[in-house]
This record gives sequence, C-alpha cells and structure tokens, in this order.
Amino acid sequence: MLEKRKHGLYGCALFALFLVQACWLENQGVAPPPQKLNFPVALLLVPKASPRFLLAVSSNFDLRYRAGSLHVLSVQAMEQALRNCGKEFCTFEELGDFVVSEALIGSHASDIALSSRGDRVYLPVRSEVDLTWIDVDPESGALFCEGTGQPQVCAPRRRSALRGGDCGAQVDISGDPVTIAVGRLAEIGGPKESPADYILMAHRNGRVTLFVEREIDGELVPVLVDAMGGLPNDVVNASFDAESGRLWTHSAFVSAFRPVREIASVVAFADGERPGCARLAEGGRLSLVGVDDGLESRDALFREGGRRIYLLMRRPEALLFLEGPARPFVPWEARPARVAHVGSGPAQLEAMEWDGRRWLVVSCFDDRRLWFIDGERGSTQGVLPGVQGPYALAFDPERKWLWVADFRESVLYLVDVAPLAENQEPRLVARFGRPRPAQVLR
Amino acid sequence: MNQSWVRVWILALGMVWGCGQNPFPIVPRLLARPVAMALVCFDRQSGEALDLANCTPTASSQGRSLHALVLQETRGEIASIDLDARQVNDSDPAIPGATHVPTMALPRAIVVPKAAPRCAFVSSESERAIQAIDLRRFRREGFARAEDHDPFPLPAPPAGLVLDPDERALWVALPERSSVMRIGIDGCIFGESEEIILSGVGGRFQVGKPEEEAPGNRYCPLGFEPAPWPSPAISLDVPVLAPAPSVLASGPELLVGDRRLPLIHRIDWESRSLLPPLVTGAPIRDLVITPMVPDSLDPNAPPSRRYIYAIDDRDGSVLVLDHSDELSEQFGALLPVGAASALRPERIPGLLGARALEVLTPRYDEANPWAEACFPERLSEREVPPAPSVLRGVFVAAAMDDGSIRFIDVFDADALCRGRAAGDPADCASTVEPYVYIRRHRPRIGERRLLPWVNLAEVALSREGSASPLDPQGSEFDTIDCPQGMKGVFGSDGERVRAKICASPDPFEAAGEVWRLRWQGALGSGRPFEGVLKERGEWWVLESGIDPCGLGVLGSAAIAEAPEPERSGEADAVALLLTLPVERRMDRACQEAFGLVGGRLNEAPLIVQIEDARLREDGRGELWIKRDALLLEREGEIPLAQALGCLRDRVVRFEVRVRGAYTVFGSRTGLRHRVKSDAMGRCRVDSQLSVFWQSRARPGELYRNAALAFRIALRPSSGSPEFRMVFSGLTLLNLDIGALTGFGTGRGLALPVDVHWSAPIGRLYVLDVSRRGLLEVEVEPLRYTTRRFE
Repeated sequence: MLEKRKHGLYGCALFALFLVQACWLENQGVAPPPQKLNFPVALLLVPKASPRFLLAVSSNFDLRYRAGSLHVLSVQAMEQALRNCGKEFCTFEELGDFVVSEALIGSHASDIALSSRGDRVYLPVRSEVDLTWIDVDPESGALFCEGTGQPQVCAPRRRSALRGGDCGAQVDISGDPVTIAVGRLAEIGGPKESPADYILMAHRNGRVTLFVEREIDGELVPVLVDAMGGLPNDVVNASFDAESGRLWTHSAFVSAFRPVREIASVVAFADGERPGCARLAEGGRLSLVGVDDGLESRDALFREGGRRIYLLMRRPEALLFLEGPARPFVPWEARPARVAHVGSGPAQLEAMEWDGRRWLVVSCFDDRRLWFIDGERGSTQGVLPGVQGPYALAFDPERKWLWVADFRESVLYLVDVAPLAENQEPRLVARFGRPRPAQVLR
Repeated sequence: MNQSWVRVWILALGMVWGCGQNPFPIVPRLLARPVAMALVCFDRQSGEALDLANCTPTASSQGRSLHALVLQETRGEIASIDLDARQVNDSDPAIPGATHVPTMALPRAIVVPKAAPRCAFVSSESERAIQAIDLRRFRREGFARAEDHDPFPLPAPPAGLVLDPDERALWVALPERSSVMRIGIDGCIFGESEEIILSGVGGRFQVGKPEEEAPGNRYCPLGFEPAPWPSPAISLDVPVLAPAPSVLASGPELLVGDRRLPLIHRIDWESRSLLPPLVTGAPIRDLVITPMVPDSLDPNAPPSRRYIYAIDDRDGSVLVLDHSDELSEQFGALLPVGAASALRPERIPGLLGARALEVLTPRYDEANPWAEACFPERLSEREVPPAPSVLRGVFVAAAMDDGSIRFIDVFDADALCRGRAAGDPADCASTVEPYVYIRRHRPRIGERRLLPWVNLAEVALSREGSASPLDPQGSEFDTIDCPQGMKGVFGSDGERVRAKICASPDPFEAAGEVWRLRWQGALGSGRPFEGVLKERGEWWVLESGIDPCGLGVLGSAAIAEAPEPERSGEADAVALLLTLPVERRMDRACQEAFGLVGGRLNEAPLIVQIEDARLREDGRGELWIKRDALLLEREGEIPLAQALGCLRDRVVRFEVRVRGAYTVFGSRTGLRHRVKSDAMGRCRVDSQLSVFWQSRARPGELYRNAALAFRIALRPSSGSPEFRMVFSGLTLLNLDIGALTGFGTGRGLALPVDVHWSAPIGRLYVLDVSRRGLLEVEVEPLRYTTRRFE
C-alpha cells in the first residue's frame, strides 16, 4: 500500500513539473527559419509594370513559429537562375540566393498593398488586429521597419497605426483584418500636391477601417481616422476599384440561415475642412440575379473605367462578367452578361493583359489547378494542374510570367503564360522553395 | 473480471477500430467539368457502334445500349456512360475511380455520325486539331480492336463543329481566320479539305411584321385577346470588322453564328458558296433551327414556317428570326416576339442569361406534323392527357445561367385539346384548366391556371405603419376608361372597360409583380446614402458614391428641359437625415433650423430642392443645391446654411425623394425612368426612350406604363402613405436542376452548359458543369429519370 502511494506521488510530481513547464508564459516560441516561406498568403510585384522584386507574405498559419514574415526576392536573380538551369521544369529548394531582404511580422497576415509612391507596403495582421507598415527601397528591395536582428523584427511602432482622435468621433479597430487597399489622398479630395495615401482595411465582421498618412516629424505616418460597420458579415476578401475608389467586400457563405446576398462597397472622402482627416461612406450594394445562387463571392477586378467587372464566385464556381452599370431600374441589381465556369474552390483572381488581349487566371484551391479564361469570350483557355495549394497570384507583364503562391506546400511556382497568345496552354517552369506539405488543408 | 480491465479492453478495441484505414469509402466524382456530349448506340456483345436509330426504347433487351460520350475539360478526357446499364465505362479498373478515354487538352466539341459510325470526332482549341477516336475504344469488348488515327491539324484554333447532312464531311469554324473549313471523312479517315472565307458584308437588317396568329396557339377563356406583338423601332450598324465564326448549325444550309458581327452566315452544302447572311443585330452565342412547323389548321397543307432561335452573346437574351421561305420578304427578319413593356421588345421575355439551346421534337414528324396531334374528339384516347408539363410537338429548350432549363413553345401538338373536358364538345369548358395560354415564341407556361392570368390579388394602403385592404369602390383612385389593350382589374364595371386600376390582360405584360406607390417616396433601394457636402461658389454640392442618373434623379434644371410628362412634375429633393450634435442643442439658431416640436427636437429630415444632378467621370455622383436654398416643409424661411452651421462636419446621410407625386416601383420592373447622363454628365430625360417608362404618378393625372394604368385621387397632406398592389405570379415550365441535386432542404448549385435531344428515344439530356453531372429527362410529362451520373 505504501509502495503504491509512493508511486502515485512520484507520478503526480512528474505531472506537476510537466504542467509548470508548459505554462511558462515567457516562452516566446520558436523563430521562423530565415529565408523560408511558411504558408505564403499574398504576393506583390514591385514595380508593377517592370518588376524587379517579388514580395511574399508568409502567414505562419499553423502558428508553429512565433512570427510571420515578409520576404523580398529578386526577380532578376530568379530569372538568371532559370536561364542557368536550362531544364523544362526547374526546382530551387533554397531561397538564399534570391532573398534580398526579410522582416518578421505578426502571425496571420493576409494581404499586402503598395503605397502610391512605391516605397512602403501595408499589411493587415490578424494576430495584432492592426496595420503593419514597412518601408521598402524600390532600388535595392531593402525593408525597413525600425527592427533589430537578422532577419529584422519589426518594431511595435510599425505594427500599429496611430489613433486620430482629432477627426471627430473616437474610433478603434475591431474585427479580424482581412484585406487592404491603398489610394492617393489627393484622389478623394485631399490636397493635390500631397504625397499622402489613404488606406482601407476590411474586417471579417463587416467593418472597414480608414487610415490616412499624416506628416509627423518629417515622416508620413498612417493614422486611424474613421471606421464603419453595417456591411455584410463573414468578409473573406475585398476588391478595390482604383478608378472610383470603391472597395467591394466579399462574404463567405457560412450558413443557410444568414445568407449574404449583397456585395457591399465603401468609398472614402477627404475632409476638406480638416486636413489629415477623412470619412467613410457606403458606396452602394450589388445584388446578383440570374445565377444559382450568387451568395458567395471571392474576388473582383474592374476594367474599362468600372464598366466591366469580373466577379469570381464560389456559388456558383464561376467567373461572372458584369457589363456596364447595374440595371438602372432596380438600382444595384446586377445580372451577369456571361458566366464562365472554373475549377473547385476558386480563391483568387488575376488579370493578364498584353497586345490588346486579356486573360483571367483563377487559383482553384480545392481543385489544385489554375484555370485560365479568355477575358472577352469567357471560354476556358487552359487548365494547369501540378500546384497543390494554389492561392495568391501575381502577374509580371514584362516577362509574361505568373507567380503562384502554393499555400499547401509553402513554395512559389512560376508559370510561363506567353503561350496563351498562341491559344496554347501555359506551362509550369519552376518551383522555388522546399515543399512542406500540409495535408490536412482541404 | 476486474472492471477497470474491462474498460481498458473496450478502449483498446475502440482505438483499433478508429485507427482502421479508410473507414469511410470515398467515391470519386465520375465527371470533371463536362462540357459537351454526343450519343452513340453500341452492341453490348461486340462493342461495335451501330446506327443511332437502333437504340430505341426497347433496344436494351436486344443487346443494344445507348451511350453518352461526354467531353471533360479538366483532364482532357471522354467519359463513356452506358445509359441503359446505368454505369460509367471504366477503361482501367486497376485505377480507383472511373478512368476515361484520353483525348487532346481542352476538348471543345464532339460529333458522332448517326449512320454507320466508326469514330467520334473531337476538336481541341489548344492543340488546333481534330482527332478521330475509334468508337470501339469506349467499350471493353471492342477495346482490343480499336485503331489509332492521326489527328487532322488545323491552321487555327477551332470553334464549332458539325457534320454534313450526309455525314461525309466535317465542318469546323475557324474564328481567327474568319473562315469555315470543310473536311471530307470516310469512316475514320480524313480526306480533302477546303477553306471558305466568310464575308462581313451583305444581308439586310429588318424587323419583321408581327406574325398573325398561328395554329398551335391556344387561349382560354373564349374571347381572351393576347397583347399585340410590339413594333419596336430598331436601327443597326454592322461594324466593319472581320467575321469571327463561332457556332454552327445544320439546316437547309450551313448556318454559322458569328461572335463578333451581328450576322448569321450561310453556306450552301453542295456548292459551298456563300449565301446572303442573316442580320441578327447581335453577336451570337448559340443558335438552333426548327423543323418546318404548320402555319394552317388544314392537316393536308404542308408545314411552311421555320425559325432560327439564337442567343445574343452580349447578355444571353434569345431572339428569333424567320427562316421560312427565302423568296418571302419576311425571310431573315428579326421577329418582334417580346413584351411591349420590356426593355427590349425584340427578345423573348423571361429568358435572360441563356447559355445553350436545343430543339425538341417529341412525337413530331415534319412530313406529317398532325399525325400525333390531339384533336378534341379523340381527347379521351390520350394515354397521357395533355398538360402544361407534357411536351408533344416542337419546342426549344434553353439552358440558363440560373441553373434551370426553360422551354419555348413553337408548335404544341396538344394545344387544341388543352382547356377542354373529355367528352364535352364545348370549347374552353374545362373546370380543371379554365385558363390556357400557348403562344408561339413565348416561354411555356407550366401551371394549370384557375385564376385569370393577370390577377390583382391584393390592393392595400399603408398609413403610419398600418395597412388595410382597399375598397374597390373607395375614393383613393378615380375611375378611368381603360386604355386600349387593357382591362379593368380593380373596381371594374361588368365589362371591365372602366375601372380604378387597369392592366394588360396578357401575362407576359403584367403578371407576377408587386407594385409599390409611395407618396413622395425615396428613389433607390430604400437604404439611405452617405456623402459629403462641399461648397462650390453659389452652390452646395452633395458628393457621394451613388449614380444619380441611374437612380432617376430630376433636378429643376432637368425638369425645365424635359418633355412631357416629366415636365409637369416637381423637382426632386434631397432629405438630409441629420442629428443635431449635443453641444449645439441649446443654440437658438440650431433649434430653429432643426425645428422644435413641443419643446423637443424635430427628428424630421431637412429637405431642400435639387437644382441639378450629375454623374462624374470617376463614377461619383453630385447633387447641386443652391447655396441660399430654403428648407422645405418648414414654417418660415430657414436657409439650409443655418442648419449646416450646426454640424460638426459635412458628411451627411441622405435620401433623394420625389415631390408632389408617388414613386412607382415594381418588384420585377424596378423604378423605371428615362433619366440618363448626357455628354456633360448631367442627368436628363432621354426622350428617345419609351414614354411608358415613368417612375412617378401625380394625383389627378393619368399614370400609365406598359403594364398598368390608374389615376390616384389621394393627395396626402402629411405622412407618406403607400399603396401596394400584388399581381399574382406566373409559373413558367422549367427544370430547376439545383433543386434536384441538393440534399434535404438545401439546394445543389447548378450551371447547365449543354442540352441534347435524342429523337429515337424521346429523351432530353442535360450536362451540368457545376455538379459535374449528366441528367436524363423525360418529356411526357417533363421529369427527371433515375439515370443521373455525377
């Protein structure tokens, strides 16, 4: 009996020690390994017309590490490596030769946008429920966010925006930030000579937050100035129509008991009476008719001054071509002129244009394919398998390359899309990074 | 046994069971984005293909089996589905799931000869070729004997593909070369080819005269008069561009739909010469041609009418062209088949968003069109009695973007028996179906109707939140003489010539809508907008993200330039929905501006007249208000500026409201108006648009649109009363594929891409690319069979 009790006491002591060790709250977690992608979720080519750098946002989706990361890769270095490779399909497991700069940010960043000046990027970061802003040198690709260490850990100041209490009502950020858009403040009524931008951030709970850059101590700093709610819930993405300055939110179909039938938009106005302030207003709602059932959109692109809208839907799994303004007799009711089916689980949409022609590419996450659609006829021009978790897309118009972030395997794929001009299917030409498959993702 | 050990064993067994491999079998999908299909008849024993006519409904018992060959876009394969055995043929059982016959990447079209078929012909846009695939490859019995054939290279990516009527040649459209190519075939061997370059000129655009009533049309009760066909004035410029032939159809000549020019090209089969094209007014997405259908009640007279149905590639609407007699003046004319109240009266109503068309000919023989027709004296002999869902004759099926299949009446062989009671010689005497409406070129109505087509189910008036039905003898509406073509539907005399509310009796003009008439109502969807007020010289400019011209805003400047009836109206007003900030509530000027009612602040909006409305190039809207504008509906003269001076900022919530009139909003029609932005972006009335597009009804004046007419007598002195008129709906015959493929109470999503009619067995096949399925449909009556493949 005494022996049994001794054994029991030893077991309890061991167990208690284990519990204490697990509750060590000062444990910061493991740093992400440098120069490695980790659930890449957003891509950005800089500059857009003639890209020199590819920025890749890693979300740290499984929280294996203590931070997400932003990598700047040299497109020219990757191009050179491809030339030296000489094979039909090249793999480069180590990214060290291509990474020119790297910074650690909060986990679960979900998007990236470039300032109008081309020298700063903004990221919505869910773990911090705030805006991260990082300067980028357009010549060297170097990142700067007042951080220390290698890779630099962005300073807390760069992982949040100031609160602009002098613009009127007190506002704060609420809800998981999902996506972001940037425009010039001058385009919404700000001072014409001002280089400042405004930033729109959409949140999952149907809110949009507005930041405006203000000059503080000689530096342009983003300041939170307004927020509005009342938009449809379950926002998963937002699309920015730069011409009209309208941000359209896309909601997921979460439950048949609360279907979201409308795609809502917001616009921003600079407040001419108070420099450095701006306000949000609702810009109208689109209600889709004539499709089965139009309850879940994912992405959109705007062309011809907003007269042509490409709307990527999950219900149905198709790309809708919307022409002209909404039917004038029933404001904001939109019926597609054309419906082009795509693969399963469509996620993101990108346009590729050259020589007067346009193609749309859709990353179909569940299908593990890229779907290429003719931008005029809506016909399928190519179906490309071989990417396990296609998600974010970025088109290089100079090289006719399409970059694809593979969220499942944490790698980047490069697709040569030039054959589309000959009505041929695009082809996979390279993979960058070592695949780390995450099989549980559906 | 020790209880704790029992628990351990149970736990262990449970873990072992849970750790089993693949506890739930996953059934892979059979089809992956099916896009086109063809039918083939096979001999099950030999695996050889037979004439399609061999696969009659009883053929299965004789060892023959109808197959569907389905092109799959995702993987470049052809699935072979045995429709009689209800299974998908698997060309490699060792691989999980069905393994299909590979073909070229991105296959576009497939054709199989109906007589003596040896090969299926498949075109690929990405590989620019046509492949001949030995049909024996599609059944295991014949697989070993199947031969390979080299594909036929094409000079450009192909679009449509059809067979010659004698099946000795293939025709393929080459849009990039503005040509069509004819390729001789002998079994599976490609022969000589010839390219015919198309011309973008020629042809004559005309809108046809409305057709006289055709047999196969049928109306009950006796004396019912359908709405006359409209006479739209349409002009057309054919752009000077190269043709882009896209879709092909087989008729007396080869018909070639163009996806760039508003033309259907025509090529003589024998001489291969170009015939004068048909000018459609729209680029074409798909087209079909009907067989000849009767134009007379004389069963001995040969049928003499034939039509082309085509889809406008810009919006998926369906148009109709005459193709009866090449010597007739009407040949090639665009027929006015729409509703006068429609935005486009030259389009079939209710069919927007069509993707593909197919002609159905259940029990129809062009050589003897009345052979299977129903005559009243033999009604009781019909095994399946005539009904809305029973299709016998000639119809057109349209696959729609909304996941449904709709049907168009062309010639209903049962029409004479509809609305009749068996054994009763009197016409339109059925008590089960007293209302019948069957009209050539109209969507088929899918219900037995006991009420008039246009039935005003409810008229109510809401005041201050409480609604009550209107008395037909009440004074809210004046009694008027119904305009020509309309009948009284509310408060009518016995003849329905004079009434309080008149409507067109035709269901395609006026049915299925809820109309709301709101006194000084708001334009738009009812949700307030937001914008910012800016000072611009002598003006306040309310800037927002809203298109005011699209809303129908009419400022005083627009009224002054407008034609009647808009000219007689009042300018619209903006209602600012503002709250006086707390810190200004003791300010006398602010109290006066916002108004005090019984010592409390007035919560009514601030209303000012709009002088002008504009749409900017950047898509933002502007409402222009005079800087010295006075607030309306207030005692005394209070300038707007006085109220604005009380606000913290200039961002405002607002509505645009009409003045001195009721807004007229239809649940289907919307707020129909004639306001457009002119070259300078100003919102102005476009007098080219129909005068029936009116969104405002003024008390004491006749209001008329294409669907209804009335004269409101009630002019409220306060409040915003609203009339509500509920016109009962109309059920069109349609297959809702999403309802079929859903689970429980949920819907499956559907996107049909192709419909295919099999005349030998009288079945319709539908390819649904969304659910990746093939559905089989019977038509007597219309219903799904149990053969469904996903």
